[in-house]
Amino acid sequence: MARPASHDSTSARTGHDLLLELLRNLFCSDEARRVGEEVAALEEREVADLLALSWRQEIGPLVARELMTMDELPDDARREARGIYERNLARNLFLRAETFAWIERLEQAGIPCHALKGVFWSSLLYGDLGVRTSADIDLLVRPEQRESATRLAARLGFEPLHPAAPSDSDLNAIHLERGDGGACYALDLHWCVELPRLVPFDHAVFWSGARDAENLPLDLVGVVLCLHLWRHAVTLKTLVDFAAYVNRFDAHIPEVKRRLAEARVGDGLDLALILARRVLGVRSRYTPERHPKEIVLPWLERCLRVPFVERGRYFKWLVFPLQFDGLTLPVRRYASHLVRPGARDGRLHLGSRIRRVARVAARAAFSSGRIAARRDGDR
Amino acid sequence: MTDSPRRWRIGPKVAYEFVDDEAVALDLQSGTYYRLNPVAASAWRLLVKSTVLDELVDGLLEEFDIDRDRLEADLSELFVDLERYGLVTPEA
Repeated sequence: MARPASHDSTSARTGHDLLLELLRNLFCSDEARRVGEEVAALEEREVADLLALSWRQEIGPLVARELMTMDELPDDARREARGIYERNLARNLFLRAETFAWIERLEQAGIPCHALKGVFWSSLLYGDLGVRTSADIDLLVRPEQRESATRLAARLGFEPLHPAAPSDSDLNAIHLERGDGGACYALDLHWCVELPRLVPFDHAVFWSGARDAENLPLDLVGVVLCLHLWRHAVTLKTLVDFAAYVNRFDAHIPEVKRRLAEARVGDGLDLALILARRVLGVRSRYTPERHPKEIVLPWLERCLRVPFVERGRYFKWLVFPLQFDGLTLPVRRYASHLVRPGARDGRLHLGSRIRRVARVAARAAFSSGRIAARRDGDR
Repeated sequence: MTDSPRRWRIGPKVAYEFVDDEAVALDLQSGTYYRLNPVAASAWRLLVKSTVLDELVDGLLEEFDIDRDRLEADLSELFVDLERYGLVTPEA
């Protein structure tokens, strides 16, 4: 899919302010913001920069759709925005058809599944199939059927890029791609919604009662959204998704909170609610007034301005533990995850794991420092 | 006119979505997508509900102020075009 031209750091700074204003307008149009006039005052190149920035933040089609509704937008920019939106809509139409095909294949093989994330979230959260980008098809299967599902996918040419130990009970998903490049998407087969040692969520609730594979109950959608937000280290895309959920389904927040609290990641929901209010102006009736960890929110707000792909591979391990309840649980959960018996031989391999922890911590700190330095540079 | 198919249906390998007063239709086999203008989108919206050309014409006459014969000819021409793109197929 073609992407608009790149931009320099100066336009990125001003672009992010406008981008956030545009997103606030999306959720709080009753506040009569003047973003339309601001967009109208932009030169064509600046609109292209704004679209490029939104692409890098993985919300290009959403911003394009919003721009399409602005009468003030120059004609060329409107065509550009429309093209971005339509290409994504076409891709999502394809992915939706493929997702249904996978659901049918699995169910015919006696493997019930649920669609996680993906194209269905675009319609559910935004009422528009074309606004949310999706790279993969994510399906949740029962843990005991993960190998059957993987074999079925293999028969259709979808193989793991990095064959993992299939018996590793600490994994939560496997990433499958067509080896011959014959598909424009990857298939992610999940059996847990998060790494089980880090977020010990009771998955029985996903399999109780009869329901459509593509329609999870709304409280479980909220659970998956919140966990997804922290797994991606609070990117602008995941926060906007979360805010869209709150905007539409606020009544389900208490049930989401109850489920997350059971897995002891309730802090993640509270922080996400506060952040959605601070950054995007989305208000929930259940947003806490104060939170002991809100001291980190200004840092998270700065991180939002750095697209996921530019954060560094290990940066997420700095943000991820903030969702765990309290201050000591993150350490305990990380310790149990990192110092766990090996999947192949059941041994701890303490030496190599400690070296790995040190390496991850150093790289995460480096990424964090780079983001901070970049921010200072922007100033 | 009398030789034109009297029934049309959306192709089995076609996905679509309405966008404002237009529509986007995707040929799932080729990966090519098409934007349908407001008139074609109106016809498509009716085609979702009925495959009978006369019913489509009746429906469109409620929306557009146009002569029936002219509309029927234009609609047949549109469906022939859409068939060429693989978006619709004639029904026996």
